[in-house]
Amino acid sequence: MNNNIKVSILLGVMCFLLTIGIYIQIKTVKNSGTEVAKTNTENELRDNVLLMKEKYEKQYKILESKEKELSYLISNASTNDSISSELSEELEKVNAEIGLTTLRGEGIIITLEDGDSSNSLSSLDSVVHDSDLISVVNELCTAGAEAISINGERIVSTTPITCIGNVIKINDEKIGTPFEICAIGSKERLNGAMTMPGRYLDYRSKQGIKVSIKKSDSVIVSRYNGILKFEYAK
Amino acid sequence: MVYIAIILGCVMGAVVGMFAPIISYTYSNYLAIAIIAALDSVFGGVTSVIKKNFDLKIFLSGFFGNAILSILLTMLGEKLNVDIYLAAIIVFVGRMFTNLAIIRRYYVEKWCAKIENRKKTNEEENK
Repeated sequence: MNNNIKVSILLGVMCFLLTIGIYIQIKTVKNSGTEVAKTNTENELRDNVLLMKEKYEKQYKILESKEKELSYLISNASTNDSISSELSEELEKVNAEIGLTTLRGEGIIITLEDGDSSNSLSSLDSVVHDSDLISVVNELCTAGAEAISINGERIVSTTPITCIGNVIKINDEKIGTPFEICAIGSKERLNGAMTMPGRYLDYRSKQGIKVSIKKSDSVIVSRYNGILKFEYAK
Repeated sequence: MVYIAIILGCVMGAVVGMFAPIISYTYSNYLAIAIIAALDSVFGGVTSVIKKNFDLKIFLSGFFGNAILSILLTMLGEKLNVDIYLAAIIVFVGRMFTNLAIIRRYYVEKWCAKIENRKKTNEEENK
């Protein structure tokens, strides 16, 4: 009986380690994207990418916690002081304006997707280009959008939208189709401006790209993740 | 008893594994081999429990020896550009099937014996 208990504990521990190992393996394989690695060099490169990603995520978490600490300190310091409380309110407002806070409000969500190239005159016309995103952002701004993000990338005053091969780069982040453009503003006005016949999206959807526009009472526009800095402006 | 421990271990491992960190991709080959070795050891352990010749020292040394040798072989294979780890996997999985056959035979025979016993007792009662 004594031996039996010992064996059971040992096999239990073994299975415990075994399942942990299997879980870690599954996670690793899932994270790296493909199941079969071709060469050693590819392995190493993939490894580096994963390491960088992990590092980035860790740093980002630290940044987030520090920011929380900062906002806590600001609110703490300004509780008994009317001038500093005013200042902290102003700071919050300015942060919202330049895109450093996640905003929520009524607005619309536009989804642009590459169309079927076979029933379009030119296959290039049925693909969403960087110029489409620029035009849509421009039209949204014209219609009074207060905050815009594309696939989670906030559009701020220095945001570039460029084409790099088969993906589009926004804020130095590569994003691909489908593009989900979230815009906060009067949902009726935004919707009207985007669906008006003869406007850009109407024209493009006739050329073959898939456009869907959804009105929503709580659109979430995520914050800008980059760093705003002025080196030459004085 | 043994099976309860195995199931408990698996459940606990799954819970802990959900929060486990990922490892770098280069080492995932070695981890895979270690997983296969551990699976082989678990099957071997169950078989030896059934055969009633379980020896702790042999079990542990077998597990560590197998795992380390297979990992070393994998490393060597990477250097020589030959997939030697396939050989380790074939041996381990082959052994797993053999052990499974022994476990299966034991339980099927036990079950058949039980059914026959019941039949006999029924017949005796009918008489």
